[in-house]
Amino acid sequence: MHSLAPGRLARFDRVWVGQLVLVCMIVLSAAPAGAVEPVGPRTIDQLATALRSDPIVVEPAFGTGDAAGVHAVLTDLAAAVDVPVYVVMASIPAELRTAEDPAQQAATLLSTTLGEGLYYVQLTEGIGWVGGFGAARTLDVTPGHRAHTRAREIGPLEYNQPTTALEAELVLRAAADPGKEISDAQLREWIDTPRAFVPTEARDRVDQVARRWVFAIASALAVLIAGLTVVLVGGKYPLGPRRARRASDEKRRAVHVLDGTVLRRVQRRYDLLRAEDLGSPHSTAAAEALAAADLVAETGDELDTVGAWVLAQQADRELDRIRRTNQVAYRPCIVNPLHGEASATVPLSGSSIDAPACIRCSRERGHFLTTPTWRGERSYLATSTVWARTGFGALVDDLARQVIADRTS
Amino acid sequence: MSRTAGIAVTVLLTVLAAWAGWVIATNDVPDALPVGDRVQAAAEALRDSNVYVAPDSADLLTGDELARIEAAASAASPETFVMVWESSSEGGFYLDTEGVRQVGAKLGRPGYYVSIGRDGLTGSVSSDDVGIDADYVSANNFAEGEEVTQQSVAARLTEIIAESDGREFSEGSTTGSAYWGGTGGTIAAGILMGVVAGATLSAIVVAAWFIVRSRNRSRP
Repeated sequence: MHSLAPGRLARFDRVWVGQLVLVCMIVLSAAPAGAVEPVGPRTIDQLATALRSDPIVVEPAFGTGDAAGVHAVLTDLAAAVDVPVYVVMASIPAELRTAEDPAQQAATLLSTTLGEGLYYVQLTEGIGWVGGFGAARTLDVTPGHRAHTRAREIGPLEYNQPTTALEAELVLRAAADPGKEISDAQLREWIDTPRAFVPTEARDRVDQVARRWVFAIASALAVLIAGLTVVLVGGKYPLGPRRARRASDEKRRAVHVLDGTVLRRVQRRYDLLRAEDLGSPHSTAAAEALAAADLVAETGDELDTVGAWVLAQQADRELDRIRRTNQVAYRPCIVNPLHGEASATVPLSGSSIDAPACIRCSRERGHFLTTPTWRGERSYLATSTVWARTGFGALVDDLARQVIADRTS
Repeated sequence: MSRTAGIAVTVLLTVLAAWAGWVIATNDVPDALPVGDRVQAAAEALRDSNVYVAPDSADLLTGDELARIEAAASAASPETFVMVWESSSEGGFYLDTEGVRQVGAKLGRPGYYVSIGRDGLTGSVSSDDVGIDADYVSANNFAEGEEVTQQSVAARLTEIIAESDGREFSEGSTTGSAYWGGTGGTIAAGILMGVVAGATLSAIVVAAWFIVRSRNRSRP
């Protein structure tokens, strides 16, 4: 964008005479107009006059919203440079509208009037130009340009467009300390100002402000519709009690109890039987039930554990029956053996006969014992186990035999 | 849960959702640009006038032409405000339209705001409605290669003012968002998105409801 190469400046010197002629023509042609109020873009002559009294010209179009502020910053920085500094950020002068490189032309023309110094020129048309005349010719301000390019990469915005004001600032900083590179840390500090970048994001601010309303209305409406739907549907089709949870709690509690103590106690009771009692059919049934219980007690399966407990209860009852002949065989509650002994019945869907059940289930059928399957928690009756076929002995008289057959086949 | 409690919870969640939507969208809203010197100068000049001519464009509208445009802009309905200034992305705002809106907001006079001026070697025209809801008009830019002179600026402005003059409009705040289509469009977009999202959400929640319900019932 800007060149300070010696070759370029040398070319300047060669065209110097030509430029002088051009300036003379412009001055002569402007002269008859006299001292008119400067309206619109200033001519080179008017710019030269302005620069003579104030070497920094920053028109509002380059002011980043604060032309006076930019002017003040550049004035301070110019004071630190050893050579005279002229900064022009202005509308393109009418006489340069057809020029090939208006900023460069302007700098050359201005230097003929103002003399040696560092010139920074950016017009509203064409690329900017910076360079020195006289003693300032050898001034190396390339670190300023490099920093300006770098600012594009490390700037705070998504798309950083460094302003002319920032470039002028960096060039003057480099001129105050010729040849010294500007570090990223230093640059970050200098670009932390609103004047450093063109505020690109303001473009869609109104859309983003409106978007807040869209978001608020949409989320509120979505939740309102979904909420009212649930209220309506839920009122008509209640979820019902959380049965699964209660059932599995009951089972967990029961399994904790069924740690085998009942079975061991009944086994000990059988071991202590008197010899004359061993001939009783009840003691044979008890032995069979204990043998069956032994087969399933240690499998770790939930239903097996419950089954072992039921078999222990049956063995215990058979031992009772040796002496107390009026007692009946133990039958568990079909719904859940852990409910205890069946003392009533409950109708089962798909069956004409009522099944034994505990008194509570006979009044209001409770929840079937469940077991985890690959389809989730399911009623034990839905499994393909010996327990489902026998209802833990609620449906058959020979639970022990069926269990032994099931496990030894 | 009773129906009343359900409705109460729904209303509470609705308010929360509106708040959440607003807060989430607010994160993306850039800070308002500070009003710069150009906007300040234009707003001050337009307080008791309808045309502001910046120093950098003082040659573009003077004398009789200025008086004629001033009269036309002031008589137009909606009232029209004109800024004649050099187009620039480094004068405190990126697009002239943004500058136009800033002037309108700063000035607080509802109407049609037009900016016109040089843009390097060519010309540039921008416009926007501020504080009014009206049918959109687009101000025609300079023709390709048309020189920006007192004559062409006056002719362009005459045409632009005439084009907007006589539009039906209502005063009041507008979001001014062309993307969403003004205030009505913004509300309509919110309702449309809300209904679609609400229907989807309802379908998911009801499906989940019946799945849980059938699981509960399958395990008596």
